[in-house]
Amino acid sequence: MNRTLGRVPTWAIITTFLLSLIGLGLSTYLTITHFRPADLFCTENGVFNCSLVTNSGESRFIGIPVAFLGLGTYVVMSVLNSPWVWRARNYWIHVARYVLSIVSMCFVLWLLTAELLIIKSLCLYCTGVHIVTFALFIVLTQVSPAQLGWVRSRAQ
Amino acid sequence: MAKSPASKKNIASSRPASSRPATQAAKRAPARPPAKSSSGRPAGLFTWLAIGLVVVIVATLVIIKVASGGPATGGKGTFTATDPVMVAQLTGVPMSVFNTVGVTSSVEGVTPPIAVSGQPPLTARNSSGATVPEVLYIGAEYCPYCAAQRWSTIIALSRFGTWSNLGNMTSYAHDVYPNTPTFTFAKATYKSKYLVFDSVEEYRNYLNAAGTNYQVLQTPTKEQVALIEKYDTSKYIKGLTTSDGNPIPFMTFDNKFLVSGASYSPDTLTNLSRSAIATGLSDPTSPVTDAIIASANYQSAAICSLTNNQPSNVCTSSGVMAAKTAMKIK
Repeated sequence: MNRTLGRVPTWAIITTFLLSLIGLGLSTYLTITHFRPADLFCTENGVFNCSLVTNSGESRFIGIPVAFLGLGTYVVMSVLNSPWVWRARNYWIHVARYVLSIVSMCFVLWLLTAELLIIKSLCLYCTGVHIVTFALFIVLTQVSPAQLGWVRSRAQ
Repeated sequence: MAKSPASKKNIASSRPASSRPATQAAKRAPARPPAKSSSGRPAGLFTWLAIGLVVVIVATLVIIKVASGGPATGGKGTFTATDPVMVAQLTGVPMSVFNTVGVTSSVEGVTPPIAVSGQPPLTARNSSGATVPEVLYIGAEYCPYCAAQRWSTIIALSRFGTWSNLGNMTSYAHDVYPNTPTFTFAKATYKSKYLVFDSVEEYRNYLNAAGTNYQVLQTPTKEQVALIEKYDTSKYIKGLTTSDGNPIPFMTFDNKFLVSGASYSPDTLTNLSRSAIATGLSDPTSPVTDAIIASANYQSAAICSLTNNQPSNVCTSSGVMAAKTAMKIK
């Protein structure tokens, strides 16, 4: 099977790499504060309450702290979105990047559901990670399907 | 169908970018602007569908959230003051309901406070400086048994004084009787000329960061711990064993009456909303109301024995008299 890769503009490579690094920073902070809750600086009001969210039952997914999952995801995402890996010829690396983005986006929607409807509070830093994940999803949805040959670009 | 010039360009652009000689690509560039623009132009249908789906889901969540009562919570620990209308329903149960219910519950047995004698009184100074009997409550926000107990305790005490700053709460979501709707005493204040109410909500209704225990909320004083360790034991509470430890909720009414564990099962409140329970308090035919009010009458009878039967309209009401008879209070 002949897998070919389309071109990806430089702005998308730079943007995804920067977004991944921002996500990595935020998820690293959330992981640290998982072990040291006293270090969590967050405004508490009717909408935001970080400690409430990070200490909730929903802060674990199949027993794993969500902060760890976020950190793991962004470590992988940072590697996949690095300019060097964007240049990789392996088709499946680029598939993995986009699939990870889709899975992450789905997980963000679950976490948002938990925050809004179950915990009824938002976590400021978690929301930051969610926004970064959404931004990554937008950029990758714009370039990855065309890169992978799944859709025809407008030019075609 | 004849191939357009554009389709030729696409065939060319489908080759791996990395395998394309730079010079060749440069040569082609002016002739094939669409290839470059394929990712730089506005998103196509696929992109908009994906983004639109996410936006719709998020918008739906936000709408549900807003429609279900705004940003405040009563579910997981953030303090939310109880709505004044609900407080009025709790503290304004008609005397006829107390009297109709008495101590009869059609659902299940309601346990009265346990009388103890010969113990040093538990007193405190009220806001006007007078020394009066104290009612002490020890519980936790996660605890479903405490959740059930608070309903009847709030109602009973409202007959002797005034509540303020009660908060909405639910028991821990992953325990028995999960999410039992209730209130929290964590920030509540109670004023009465007859007695002082003191409370300790030891834990929140969610786990700590390590996931090893519930998040600590309030810590009892040494004196309160001494009372727990003395009275919340098998020596005074029939049926308790050493392995039970010191169960919550624990209440002492001037060390003359004790409550250990819920006075009725939290199961009574299962699948009911806080507002449905509160609204039903004016209906003596409701089985849920029966359980809550019977327990409130028992606690009222215990308090009346501490206040020299004051106020008299409460302490001589038929509901409280029925409780006194059942508890063998003279």
